[in-house]
Amino acid sequence: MNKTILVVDDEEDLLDIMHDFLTEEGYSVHVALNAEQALAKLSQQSFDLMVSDINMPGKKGYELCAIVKKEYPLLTTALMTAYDVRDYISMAKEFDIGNIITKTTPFNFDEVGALIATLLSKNVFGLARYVNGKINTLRIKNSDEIEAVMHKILDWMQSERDRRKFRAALGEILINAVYYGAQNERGDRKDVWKSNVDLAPHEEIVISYGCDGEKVGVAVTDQRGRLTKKDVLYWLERNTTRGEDGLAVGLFDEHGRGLYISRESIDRFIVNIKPTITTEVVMLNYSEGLYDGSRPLWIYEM
Amino acid sequence: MSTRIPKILVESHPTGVGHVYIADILMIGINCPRLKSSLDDNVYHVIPLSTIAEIATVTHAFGLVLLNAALVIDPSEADIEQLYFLSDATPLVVYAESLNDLSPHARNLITDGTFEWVSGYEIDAGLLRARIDKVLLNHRINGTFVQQQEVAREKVRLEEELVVKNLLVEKERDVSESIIASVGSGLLIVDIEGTIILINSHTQTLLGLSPLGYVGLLFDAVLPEAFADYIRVCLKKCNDKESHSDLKRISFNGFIYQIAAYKMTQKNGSNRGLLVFIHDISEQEKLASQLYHNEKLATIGTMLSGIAHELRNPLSIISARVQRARMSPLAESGPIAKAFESIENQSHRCSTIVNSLLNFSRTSSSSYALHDAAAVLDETLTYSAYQNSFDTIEIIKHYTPGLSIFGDRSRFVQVFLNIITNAADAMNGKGVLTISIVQSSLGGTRIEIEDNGPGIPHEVMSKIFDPFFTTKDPGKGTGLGLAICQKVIVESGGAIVCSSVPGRTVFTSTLPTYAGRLI
Repeated sequence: MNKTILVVDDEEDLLDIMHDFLTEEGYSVHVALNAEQALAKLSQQSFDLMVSDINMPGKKGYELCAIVKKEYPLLTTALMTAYDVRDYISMAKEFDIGNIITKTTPFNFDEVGALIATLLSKNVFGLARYVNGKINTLRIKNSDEIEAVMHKILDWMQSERDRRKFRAALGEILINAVYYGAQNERGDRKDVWKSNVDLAPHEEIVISYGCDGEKVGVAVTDQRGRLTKKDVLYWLERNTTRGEDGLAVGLFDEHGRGLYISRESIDRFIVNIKPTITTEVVMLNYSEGLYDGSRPLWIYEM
Repeated sequence: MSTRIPKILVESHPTGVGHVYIADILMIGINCPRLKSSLDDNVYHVIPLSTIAEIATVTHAFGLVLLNAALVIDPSEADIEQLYFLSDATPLVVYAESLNDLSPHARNLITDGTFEWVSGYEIDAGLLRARIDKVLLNHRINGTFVQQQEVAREKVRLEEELVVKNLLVEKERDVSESIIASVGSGLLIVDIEGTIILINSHTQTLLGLSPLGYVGLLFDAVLPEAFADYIRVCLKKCNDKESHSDLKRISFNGFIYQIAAYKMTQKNGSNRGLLVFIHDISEQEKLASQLYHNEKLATIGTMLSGIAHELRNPLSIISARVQRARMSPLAESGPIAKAFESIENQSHRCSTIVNSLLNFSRTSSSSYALHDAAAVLDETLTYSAYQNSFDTIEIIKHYTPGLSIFGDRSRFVQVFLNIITNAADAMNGKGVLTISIVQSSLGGTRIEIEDNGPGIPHEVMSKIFDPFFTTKDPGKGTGLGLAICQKVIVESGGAIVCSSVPGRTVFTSTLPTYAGRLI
């Protein structure tokens, strides 16, 4: 049976586009122009997914999500916006929202399709969901291998722009995966971290990378699943909220900043978590100028 | 001078040429008819008194006191005081038969010059008159001498006082002159007739007057027309008893001045003239207009980012529509295909503009940290090395080691990459790029990026940091590059300036080494 999706947006034009696109993708699509209409539709039939615009007249998208979470706890929800997602991080933390799709120019149909598919299938892991090309794999079993892996991937990249953007993010995420993910080190005790640390016998950090016509992607996976959506939202919020001095309140935090900086430096930063099983961070970088601007918030916790 | 000073003198000219004055003599306690008749014979007028206390009863002036030595053998306190008092102005002569008759106390009084002493022998020998004459004469001469001395002393005192007063006046003048000289503005005083009473050197420098003495001249003849006009109006107002001052802005010789005139009134309320201050406010005006300009740009920036924000929705819809429409078989070729392609391209172009605008207005301060300045610049250079235009550019580094900058590393890289790319473009790929990192006198770190290209034309210099200003061909640059640079540097608490002459253009960024504002 076709999966059923409810799309909520006050722009009729956009509803029309989404309706056509998602129908072509094989879904059964219903639309609503505001929260009231959406709630009415939800009461009439069951849906697999609701995607709502954030900024609508009347109830905002996140308020609608809060009601839905209470009344239909099994319904998967995602928000959508044309605005800058960074402006919504506080809201996301407050309403525990991990998924915000962005309406970009050009409109990123592939991405919207892929994100909706992962949400519906609950099968979020794997770089292949985002990159339509050959995927290579590397493994880390000892902390001293981080540097070599990083260089190997950076050398593999064709464009200096990609190298520049991945240099900061990749280092950060690999170190996180080894030290927080596998070793469970404390972020505020970086001074006592040891180099040359072996991972547990059957444990490894898996790094997959690949590219297609429009983007380069790298995914880093650990086998612990220690990261939580709550943590990620907390750190992002600490670094997007400004204190009275105009600086981010999390500026001098012992850790959590690396994650924010990684998200800022790369076009797409996707976190998939299966608690206690695995954490996957997918980083994508589009060719210059493509889908520039707002980046989706994508933290999927199973 | 005491009124008791003798109006008396005895035959000042023994030859008889001069006047003869009758001297009054108090004769106290002396019962000696021989002495009295001798004095009478010699035209002295004698007033006999029996005790010292009786002196108080004598109302008219007298010239000499003759005192019986017996009275001073054991005189009372009051008597002694009276005698001392007397001796100040009047010669006092003690009469004794012999010096041996005097008490030791009286002898002391004679020795210390309080009393003269005459002896019975002198009377017997008829020498008394001569002696008294001598005493009186001495007294007169001494009196005159004392008088002269006093006059002289008074003169010295006055002279000294004058010197002190002059010193004070000098000092006061010194203070006022140094006040006038050190007033940071031009100071000018004209009297009600328009005569210059005071003009400080600053006024002369400000108005480009030659360093001559202008005091005493009419202001019209000295001051440039615009200033003279103002003072003329003010003088007229203050003569019309209108008591107010007003400020005026005067443009002169490429500078802007502020002139203010204040009415000066004397203690009695009468009009003394005008006190005029002249300030050079060119720099202030420049800063104020810069500030205004910046504020205007900030407002425009906020407005633009608001508009850009709102454009994202319709743009994404236009793009989504046309992306899908292009997949239709109708749009495979021909004019519709062309139109769709054009719509898609142009909507992307709009989106690029919107995104640069939003990136421009967005401030990200969350990734601030302390960075090694040399490392940031070297990182920047690795990026620029990939640009073809860099192949034939020589790079010279003058790095002071150990200097850091505080802020967002990637934004700093963006700034320096922008400046370096501009420099390379300006040099047309051939030239010398000099990068210096030095300690700033302001406490931060100064990064100077210098090229030896043709330089920035004077007429565009003031616009280079304006958003959307570009000299590049349409499509080659958004004109936001340097505006973003300035924004980043200012937001990082620093400042960026540019100086350019043909063959040498320097962009100097000064950045703090801590979380705070350097400038």
